[in-house]
Amino acid sequence: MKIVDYSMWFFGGVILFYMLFVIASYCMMFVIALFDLRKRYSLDPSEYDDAHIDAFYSKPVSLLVPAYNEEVGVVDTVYSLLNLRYPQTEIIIINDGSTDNTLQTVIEHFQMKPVNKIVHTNIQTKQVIQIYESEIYMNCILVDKENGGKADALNVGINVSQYPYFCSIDGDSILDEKSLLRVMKPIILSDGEVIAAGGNIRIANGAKMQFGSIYETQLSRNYLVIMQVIEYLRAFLMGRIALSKFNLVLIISGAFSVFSKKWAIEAGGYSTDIIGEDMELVVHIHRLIKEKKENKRIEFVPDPVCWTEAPQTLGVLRNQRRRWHQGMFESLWKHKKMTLNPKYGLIGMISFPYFWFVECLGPIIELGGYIYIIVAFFLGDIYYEAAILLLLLFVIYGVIFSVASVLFEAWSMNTYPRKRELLRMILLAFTEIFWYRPLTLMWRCEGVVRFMRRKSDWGNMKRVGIAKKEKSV
Amino acid sequence: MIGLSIHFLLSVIALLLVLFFIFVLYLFFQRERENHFLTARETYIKNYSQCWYEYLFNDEIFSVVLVPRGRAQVEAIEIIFSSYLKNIINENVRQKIKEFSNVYLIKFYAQDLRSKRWSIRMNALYRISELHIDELLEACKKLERTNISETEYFQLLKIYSSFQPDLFIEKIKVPNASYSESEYRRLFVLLEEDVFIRFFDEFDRWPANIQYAVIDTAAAKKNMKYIDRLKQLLTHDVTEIKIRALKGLFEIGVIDDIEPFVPFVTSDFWEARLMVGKIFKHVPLTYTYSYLELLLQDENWWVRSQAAKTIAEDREGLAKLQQFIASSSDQYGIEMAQEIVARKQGNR
Amino acid sequence: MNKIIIAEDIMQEHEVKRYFEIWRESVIRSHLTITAVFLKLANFTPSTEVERCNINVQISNFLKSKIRKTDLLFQSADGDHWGILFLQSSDVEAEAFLRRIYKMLKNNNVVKEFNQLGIKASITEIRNNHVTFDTLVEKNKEKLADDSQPMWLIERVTDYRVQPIEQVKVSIIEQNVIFRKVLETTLHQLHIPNFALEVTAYEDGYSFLQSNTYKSGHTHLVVMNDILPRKNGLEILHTLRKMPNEKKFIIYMMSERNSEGAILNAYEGGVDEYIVKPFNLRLLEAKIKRTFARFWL
Repeated sequence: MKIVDYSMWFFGGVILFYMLFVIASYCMMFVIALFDLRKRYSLDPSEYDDAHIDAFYSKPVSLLVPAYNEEVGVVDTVYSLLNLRYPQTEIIIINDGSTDNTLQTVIEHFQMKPVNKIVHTNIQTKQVIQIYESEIYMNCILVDKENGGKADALNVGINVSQYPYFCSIDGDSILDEKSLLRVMKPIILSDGEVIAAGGNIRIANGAKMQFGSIYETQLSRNYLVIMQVIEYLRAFLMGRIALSKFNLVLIISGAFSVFSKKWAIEAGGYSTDIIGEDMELVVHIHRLIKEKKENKRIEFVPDPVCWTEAPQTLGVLRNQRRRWHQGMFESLWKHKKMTLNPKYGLIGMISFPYFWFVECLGPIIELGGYIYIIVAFFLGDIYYEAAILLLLLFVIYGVIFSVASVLFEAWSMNTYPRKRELLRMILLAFTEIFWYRPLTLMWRCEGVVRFMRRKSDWGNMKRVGIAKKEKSV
Repeated sequence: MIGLSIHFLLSVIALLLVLFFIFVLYLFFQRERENHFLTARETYIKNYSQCWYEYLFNDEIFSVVLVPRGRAQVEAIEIIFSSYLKNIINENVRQKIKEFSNVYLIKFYAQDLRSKRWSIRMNALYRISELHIDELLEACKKLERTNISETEYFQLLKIYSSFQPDLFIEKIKVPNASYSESEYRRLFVLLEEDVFIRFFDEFDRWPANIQYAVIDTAAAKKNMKYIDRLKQLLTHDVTEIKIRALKGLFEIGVIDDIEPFVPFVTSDFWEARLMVGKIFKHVPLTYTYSYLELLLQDENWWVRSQAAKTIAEDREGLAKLQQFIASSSDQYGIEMAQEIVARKQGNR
Repeated sequence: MNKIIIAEDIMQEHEVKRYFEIWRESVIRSHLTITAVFLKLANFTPSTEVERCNINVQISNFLKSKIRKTDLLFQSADGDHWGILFLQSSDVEAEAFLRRIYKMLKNNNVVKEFNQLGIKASITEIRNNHVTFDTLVEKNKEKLADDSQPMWLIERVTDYRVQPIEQVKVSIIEQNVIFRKVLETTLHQLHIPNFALEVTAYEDGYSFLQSNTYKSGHTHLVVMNDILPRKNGLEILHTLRKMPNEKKFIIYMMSERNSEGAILNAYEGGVDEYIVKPFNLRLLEAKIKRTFARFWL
């Protein structure tokens, strides 16, 4: 009995302190983010937008659209890119050996004609089969290549691109017309000190769109989707913004991010042997910055919007989360020597420990917490109270933070202006700890297990390509 | 102890929930106000944009119904004005908008300038320079003396540059804040020619960002008057400035004498050699071929490629390239020439 | 003996009639102005038939050597008149032509030989299809019927010079409501002689393509932004220029993107004018007027 007591106390203590620590750090980031956002509320962005539509003030950007079996989404994505308010872009669609009609669809829609073009091989990639150019849009290129995964497709895009910056967009996402202009803003205004920037992702489920334009936004009716909306808001308020303020971001969304080509090439492009290639590139660039002792930054821009379809079913969501978590683990593992290494400054001392401790191991401890509560209830007696204490912390951690995120987002950004939608989100946030949270925790733990398992069979990894509706936030 | 913590946590949660509830009510109230505001704004736009058109474009007499009552109508007028200014050039209209703003909108913006909130002050500064409200220049100067952010100072500089260029030059000499090249460009682009050219007079006293912006702005203005100034910079000590000056001269595109550019054919920096290759596009091939042939055998891919393209643009270019292919022994140069010839002969 | 003398290789009235009827219909369809000139010897009665025949042949040959390959010379059924049909020419050109040949004839040996010989002419400018060939000939003969008319006279038949009013469709595609309204009003108020503009405005590319107005045969002026929600300007441009009768579209593209590449792309794609925003409305009006003025000579 003694052993049970001691271990209960020990685990209870660990979980308790962990929770307190996480709650404290979230609170801190939340406050920083709020001040930052509220300051900007009601600022009219059009002054900047209108001036910088002139090519004289901006830098040209190559837009890379990797597409693997995206025959449904890719045309809309390209339309949304054609409608971007930006002075100079080129659109490079990379067909990663799709087995459906992606290639034909794009060729037909944009009247693609084969051309001879010399490609500079900055990064080694799979073979390029043929390059096409659109007859309608002179700046629209299609690259047909052998299947090699999303990272490889993006690397081909980098090789083909001719401009100093590139922006990666998933083949089923839609960009807001001003988003590129605004995501480039920190890069332009810092004279290239910012070398990568990521935009905000919004869930497109429920929004009505046609030919790449969203013309009516609406919150989806699907509970799973609403839950994800809340989760995005949370990640955004309690993480991204605060981390970005101190140049500590390790994740900028792969669905919509801009990189300086020079730095990306120096980092060897996207890693093809890893799942979380977008996170890995960011970490790698951070590492390069510190190793070269340069004063460069990576920023998250709260405003620019990329619309993306969120998983509507548990199965797809599970897959997605598993992959994300595995990807994060892999990226951190690959650069593990940065952890707590003073050579890497705040990234090594704060970001890495934070990501290891809160983002990677968090799910395991939290899941442990859930199990602990159940066990404690059965043991009764003194553990009964410990269980309640922990449960209350979970309530704060889950419910209170989620509700606060929804409310303060409404206060500072007002993305979902309808009252009914706001209410629906708040009510659903209360249910989070009972179903959504445990589910995602389990999936993420699965990701951890997969990461451990894959350590042994690194060699025969199967590339999944860019499966539909799977991308990191 | 645990019991105490439970109690404490419970009260914290309860308190937070109550706060949230109040906050929700507040938000809903706020939403209601915002909706009201938006409706008022839309109504004004719907009812009066035609009147505005008649007044601004067809010289109808001014009607007092156009004078804004309240913030919503001010915002509606801002939207109408900016749609006009963004799309249409018309001195008369601009003047009328300026006069109207200086009389009827001034009190709103003066109030905004004193606001505690940064975003409100910024918006006011945007409008002052967009609508040319020069009556508020003094208020702006007053704002400058308070503790303001760099972004606000930038807007103030923009306002000075269009209302009082001398003051602008004076302010920019004091390095209060440093901005990026693109921001300096935005400041310089609006300057009158005689003010702008002063930046060349004391070129070396400016920080690098301003120097670069000056060169690039001169190029973008495509003004022949700046050609000599840029040529002077070709002998500057800083390589980046030389390269930018070359780029500027290429963009203006009027080359009367190739002498100043010849030394760059053998420059140590490939960017300079590339720019010379581009500049020679504006000169007949007979004068430049011997130099371009050198560049065609350059060690840098971009330089070779540019040289080949420049040669190919001339009417005699293809023949020259073919002659080069036949006679030269430089393998890289030949390959490049072949590629360009093939592309030129192809359908595109 | 009133035998009509026929110069060997000159077309006759009845042969020309059929050609004329076809051209007359093209007057409207292709904005093709025709000008007919009729010539007759002035104030001259030949003393002998041989002389008359001689003069006739010489004048015919002279005229034939002076007309362009696109003009058509014929002789009237009565043998007294010559007709010339100038395709794609206005009466200004016809008059210049007459003055030129008058001057030559005055110095010509034939005329000098027969003292007192001269020519008179009448000009008919045709800009509508209300005229038949027979009435054309009739009217001109009437004009030149008076024998007391002086030499080197130029008469005019002005009954057919009024152009029919042509319906033109104008489509404005612009996202900004206020500016769209301004464009609509401006173009609505724009007065172009002989053209009636029917102005419609659309907020995005899709609604324009849905409207089907572009499928009718009318001349169609499209004023649109390059960036538009739901099918942007470049795509509309491509759709219109791919149509079999794409020539009927006059496409003006407005853009706030002031970059050389974008402008070149647009012109290569087939826009007629590329206007960088902000622009002067008066300038747009002037450009449009000029475009339509070029339609007719």
